[in-house]
Formats: sequence, structure tokens, C-alpha cells
Amino acid sequence: MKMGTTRLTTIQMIALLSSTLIAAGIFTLPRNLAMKVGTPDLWVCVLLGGICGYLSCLIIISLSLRFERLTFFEFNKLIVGKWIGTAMSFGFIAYALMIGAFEIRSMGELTQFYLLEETPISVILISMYWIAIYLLVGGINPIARLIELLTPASIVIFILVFCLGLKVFEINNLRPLFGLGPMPVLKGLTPTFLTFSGLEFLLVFIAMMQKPKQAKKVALIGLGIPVFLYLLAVIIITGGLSVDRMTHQKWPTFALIQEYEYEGILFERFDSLFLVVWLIQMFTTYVICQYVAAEGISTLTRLSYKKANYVLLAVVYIICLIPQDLNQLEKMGTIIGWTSFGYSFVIPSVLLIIAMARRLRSVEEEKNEA
Amino acid sequence: MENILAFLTRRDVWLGTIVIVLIPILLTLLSNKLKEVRIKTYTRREQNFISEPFTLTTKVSANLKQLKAIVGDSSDILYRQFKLGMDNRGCAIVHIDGLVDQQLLQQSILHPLLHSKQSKSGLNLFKSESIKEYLLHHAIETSDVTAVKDTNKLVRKLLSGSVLLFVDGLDEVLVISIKKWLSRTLNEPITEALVRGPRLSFIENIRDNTAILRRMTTDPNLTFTDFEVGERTKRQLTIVYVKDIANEELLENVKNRIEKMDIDHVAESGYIEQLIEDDYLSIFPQVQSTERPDRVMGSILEGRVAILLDGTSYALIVPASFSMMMQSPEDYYERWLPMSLIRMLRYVAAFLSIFLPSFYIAFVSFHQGLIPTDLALAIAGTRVGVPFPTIIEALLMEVSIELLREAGLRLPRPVGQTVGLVGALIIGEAAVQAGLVSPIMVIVVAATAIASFVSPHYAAGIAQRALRFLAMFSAAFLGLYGISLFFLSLCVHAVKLRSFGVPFVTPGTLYSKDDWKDFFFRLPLFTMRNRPKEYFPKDRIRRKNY
Repeated sequence: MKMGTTRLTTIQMIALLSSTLIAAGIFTLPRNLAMKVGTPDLWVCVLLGGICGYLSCLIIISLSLRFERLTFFEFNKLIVGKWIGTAMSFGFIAYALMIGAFEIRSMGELTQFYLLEETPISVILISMYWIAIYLLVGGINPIARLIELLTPASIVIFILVFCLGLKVFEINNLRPLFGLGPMPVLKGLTPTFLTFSGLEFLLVFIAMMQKPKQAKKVALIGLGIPVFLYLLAVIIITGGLSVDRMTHQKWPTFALIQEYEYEGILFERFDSLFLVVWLIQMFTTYVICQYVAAEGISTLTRLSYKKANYVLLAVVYIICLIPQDLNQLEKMGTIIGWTSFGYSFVIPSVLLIIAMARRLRSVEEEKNEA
Repeated sequence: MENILAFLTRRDVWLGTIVIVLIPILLTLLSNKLKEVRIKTYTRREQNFISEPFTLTTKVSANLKQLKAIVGDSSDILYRQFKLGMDNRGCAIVHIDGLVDQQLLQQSILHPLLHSKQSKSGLNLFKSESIKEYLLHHAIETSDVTAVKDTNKLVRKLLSGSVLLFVDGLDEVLVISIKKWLSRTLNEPITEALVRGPRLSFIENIRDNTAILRRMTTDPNLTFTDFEVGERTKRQLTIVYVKDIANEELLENVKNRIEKMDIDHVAESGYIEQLIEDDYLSIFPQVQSTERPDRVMGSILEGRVAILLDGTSYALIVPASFSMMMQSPEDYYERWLPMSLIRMLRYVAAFLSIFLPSFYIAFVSFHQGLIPTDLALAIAGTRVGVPFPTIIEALLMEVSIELLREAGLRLPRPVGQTVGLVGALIIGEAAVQAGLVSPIMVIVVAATAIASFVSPHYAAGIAQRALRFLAMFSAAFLGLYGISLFFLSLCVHAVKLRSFGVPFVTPGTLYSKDDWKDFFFRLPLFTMRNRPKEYFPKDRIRRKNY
């Protein structure tokens, strides 16, 4: 009788997917949405974005399930040939690294702004990177276990902190719905792409699942949790701050949390508690990104997974220092959003169509490797 | 373009990149080296503790001479030569004084041999082949008798307390086991006291310990497997498991590691623990040690394996996991509702005992704005005149608490309590009076110390004490961010750790419907229908229906 398995369980996958999606978006999304939309219909955008995300998840899943136990880096060569496939893979790796760098940089900026004003940002970043590399060299199983361990706690604290925000909630801030027609809502779809970027990592992770057949369930729940949380956040922030004030805040999420005070309990302000939890979420997102990138590098080149990690550490660090200020960081976010659209929707659908047209399919012969 | 060039030539970018990559690589190389040190196999020079194995002859006097040459003239070895009953055959008994039940020796061995009658048996005593038959079947009145030819084994048997019977005309020796030595009476386990539960602890004698376990069940699947450990001293080690529950892979793993152990003398089960554990660089205990037989029984029924060693009252249980550090057998003896609350209290206590002083440091020296204003003012007020930064203040108090704790442990019991009480009162009071520390610091330190006593598992408690200091340093360095980094790295370390193939932290059990019942809470017993999946037992079902 075997003890344990090296494949990811369904619950681990759900935790993995949702914590990839829950990240810096919670700080940037409300403001970006408010800027783009300008009406109180923000939350409809999130909902729509979630539905679109689920659709692209379905595409990714049906693509991945055609090629059992093969990751994106392996099966794209089968579909579009070696050269285009390799180019796609490298693009994917660069994209993953960019998300990772973006998350860590946002984390550093937030920490510097709210917690450690006098500490140089490189100290904040480097210390986080070291812990990440300690986790990364252990492979996917420790990563999955860590995320499984931390995600429920962060979700609980998230809901708690936002429900406390109901104290300043005013329903009038959410009215009128569709005051300017549905057009603003469509404009708001772009910022949601960044928020739900990370879906495309399913292209890699489905191959590592213990029961790939349950991938649809994973996508539904793993996407449902973040969509629910973002929806909650956006509704409560809009209700608490009104769209107008949201556009003027650097980080509306914190503005909301600072808005209310509960006297007489241990903390008076919850922003620090929330920030600490969110540090951990951004850390996990970064770890997943770098894992995907390192996995890709080790598939494509002769570098081993561990060595690839050390090399990528330097690359990510340099990428995350490129934006000079918050505006450039935001621009980077927009670029990521569009790339995400490419990798989560365009490329998978093209690949799926080609694969269906060419009737490509690879089924793993029944090996009993549990 | 120029921007990019300027960026790439910035010195902080390059320095940062080098630092960020080089230090983890160096640390990895270092830890790999350190791990290699452990698995490196030294070829042990062939050691013969018994100088020359001899061959047994049919002459008693010759055999005795050979034996004496090996064991020397130790004063505690008794040689008694006599003639066998009516046969007039030369015999000798050799045993160690003090390890043998004298009364039994007289009654069941010497007396029947000296008065043996041929009539009873009908065997021809003058034939050498039949003498063994006669002695085994008719004369000797004890249950554990074997005929041994291998002289090495013979010597070991003698030295471990068996009686050797040499007989003229027989080139074998009869080994009779009537061991008896002084052993402690059964006592209450001192380190793991419970309010409710059996007042029974293991003792130093392994036979008594196995008997205690056997007394708890008549399950024929309860199995004891013996090993000899220690190249020179050859101590008895027994692994205990339930045959149809324990996973074979685990069992194989445990047996392998025990057989691979290379050590001269095993003084305590702690030696075994350190030689078989997975990661010797980790701060967490990866093997559970206990004095409580009920705890061992509970564990082996979960599919784990227990290791008993002769000469120590501490049994080891493998594999160990994080949740076991928070469990006490009493959780299951009392009713579930209060015990669930107490279980949660333990988690809180563990968290406090690691992080409380570091939160104090972080809040007071970095983020005064995050605590309620009145409290911040109160702390600031009490800290007026304290000449040190908070980290020094905290270190001062924590170190003195640790000193008191160690001192109280070593002193004779009545004095120890006084030292603890007086020391805590006087040092705390005086330090505040002298303006060395603030009164709130004293509260924090006291609360931390109390929280650290809650841990039901001593080794885990020690780990918490060490971790507390690390947490304090990271808080002094990076404030709240440092604490969360420290917490993260602790989690990372815990998820990477494995104990005998089982992940140290198995959060999957949190979600599996069967296993979370016994993690933060202790739900009613009837809900625990299955054994925990964590240890991959062969037989999962505890009871069929609710």
C-alpha cells in the first residue's frame, strides 16, 4: 500500500487556482474600475469578468484534457510545430515572470507605504524572494500544501475585514444601476482581465492533477471563490466610499478599511491585519508564477528545475525593479492584462481549434503511477 | 532606450541581483553539505567484542575454562559445579549474581537436577543423546529453556541474565531464562500528568512495558518485533504495531532505519530518535516521545509505529505530525465540548508563546499607530526612562525567564519552586523599579511563559522557546512585515518537512471530512468513524455505523 501521492489533489488545485487569482488585484482593481467605468456598475463588471473567466477556463480544460499528463510547454509543440510552440512557451514564461514580478513589486510598494516607511524597498523585496526560493526548490507538493494551509485563513480574514466595512456602507452609493446604459460596463472589462490573470496556469497544472476529470469542478469553485471575494470587495468599497472618492484614492481598499473604526477591541485599525494577510496571498501568487516559469524552462532547456529557479530569481528581481514609480507599475499591470487575455483566451482557443481540426489527441497509456 | 541602459547600469540593481541569487545558492550548498555529513557511510572496522569464538566440547571442565577466558574473572559471575542426581554425571551452572531469581533457581533447577530419578523417565541416562532429552523434558521445571551451540550467543545470553547449564557428554549448553532484577514500581507519568486518565507510566524494563501494552488489548494483531541496537552493548529494542492497521511501507521504512543505525551504545531512546529522524537540521521534533502507555496504544491504533527501548521509560512514536504536538490523550477522555475549547486554547497558546513578545516589539518600535491610541500612550508612558530599545528590553526579560526555568528544573524540587517564584517576583519587580524594563514588558513576558507551559508535548515546547527568539529578532529587524515573513518561513519549513514519508503538516486533512474533526476541535467520538488518513492505515474503519 502506497503512502501518499505526488500528484495534486482536487482540493489542492482549488486552493491553488483561487489563490493565484486572489492577489494584488484587490488593491488595484477598485480604482482602475472606477476610473474606467465611472458609474456605480462596477460590480457587474466583476461578475461579467468572472463568467468570461469561466468560459476561458472551459476552453483551457478541454484543451488540456485532450493531452493527458502533458503541460502546455509540451503539447503546444504537438499542435503548432516546434518553432511556434517554443516561441509560445517562452512568451508564456516571460508572462508568468511578469505577473510574479508585478505581485512582488506591488507587495513591496504597499509594505513600504503602510508599514516600513524608512526601509529601502530592495530589503523588503529581497527578504521575500529568499523565502520564496526556499519554498520553490521543494517542488510543487510543498507549494500546494502551503497554499492549502494558508488560503482558508486568508479568505476568512478577508471576509471579516470587509464585513466590518458594512458599518460605513450606504446603499445609495450603489445606485443607479445602468444609469448610463451598459456601455461603461463593457469598458470596465479590461481591468478585470488583470485581476483574473492567472487562469492560464491551468494549462500547466491540469497535467499534474490526480484526477484531471475533475478539472471543471476545480475551475468552477476555484474561480467562484475569487469572484465572490472581489464582488464582495467591490460592492462594499463602492458602498462605503462612492465611485467618486474611489478614483481619488491611491488604494481605495485601504481607504475603506481606514474609514471605519471599532473602539474597545484589540485593534482599532484593521488595515495592518489585512495587509499582513495579503502579503501572504501575493507571496503565494508569486510562487506559483515562478513555479510555472521554472517548470517551463526546465522542460524547454537542459537546465534542471532547481537551477532554473535560481536563474529566474535574478530575472524576476530585475523585472520588478523596472517600473520607476506607481504609474509605471500600473502600466505594467495593463500590459499583463492584455497578455493575459491572449494567453487565457486567444491562444487556447486557436490551439483547441487546430487540435480539433487535426484530430490531435494524446492519451496516456494506463500506467499505475499513483 | 537610455532609460533602460541607465537602469541596467544602476549599481543597486546589480548588487541586489547578486545578493538575491548568491546567498540562497550558498545556503543551499551549505545545507546539502551538512546533510551529506550525516548520510556519509563510514565503514566500521570489524569489531569482535568476544575475543575468540570457541567450539563446545563434551567436557564440562574444558568448556568452563574457555568461557572463563572470555568473560574473565568478574566477581559477579558464579560457577557452580555439581553431579547430576543418580547419574553422577558432571554438570555446571553458570549465571550472573543479581540478574537471576535465586529462589526459582534453587527450586526449579538445582533441586530437580540434584534429585533427578531415572525411574520417572525410563531413558537410559548413560547415553549422551538421551541426556538432553531427559533434561529438557523431565528435569528442568521452568518454561523458557533452549539448547544453544553458538558460543557468541551463549556469552551474550549469560551476560544478559540467563542461566547456562553445562552437562558432561553434551556439546550443547542449555540456556534457562529466569531473569529477575530490581526494577522501579509503576508510577504516574511525571512529565505528562493528566487530570483524568490512567495513572500509569512506562518504566525502564522493556518486558514490563510490553506487558503493559499487552494488558490493554487481546487483539492478536498487536505485534512486537525485536531488534538489537548498539554494536557493543546490544540493547533490546522492540517496535510495536498492529499488524492489520500499520502501513507496510511505513513499517519497512522504520525497520530499515533501525537496522541502518550505527552506534556503539544507546543510552536512551533520544539516541534512536536522533539517528532515525528525517531532517536533523529542523527545529521541529519529527518523532513523538512519550511515557504514557495509553498514548502509545492510541497511536498504534491509528496506524503508527511505536519504538520501545530497554532501559528507558520513554517510548517513541513515528511518524509525527504537527497536529500531534497539540493533542493530549485527555482530549478524548473528557467530554468533547470542553475539550474542543481546550484544544483551541492550545493553538492560541502556541501562537502566543512564539509571537507575543515579537508583536510587542513590532508595535512599540515600528507601528505605534496600529494599536489603540490609549494603549499606545500607556505604553509610551511606562517606557519613559527605559534606556534600551524594545528588543534589548525583551531579550533581557526573556533570557532571565529562561534562566529561571532552567534553574528551577535542576534544583531539588522544594527549592526549585521557591527559586521560580522568588526569581520571577523579584526580578520582575526590581527590573521595573530600577527602570530597566517597562511593566508592560513584564506582563508580556509572563504571559508568554505561561502560554509556553500549555504545550502538552515537551519537545514541541522547547521548539517554541527557540522560535520565540527568532521571531523577536525578525520583528526588531522588519517590524510587522518581519513577523509575517517569519511566519511564512515557518510555514514553508513545516510543509517541506516529512516524517517517515508523511508530510509534517497535512493540511489536506483539514478539508477531508473525516480528518478535520480532530484538528482544531475534538468532535464527539461517534463522529470519528475512520482512522486518520494521515498515516495511510490499511484498515480505515473504526466502527461501522453511528
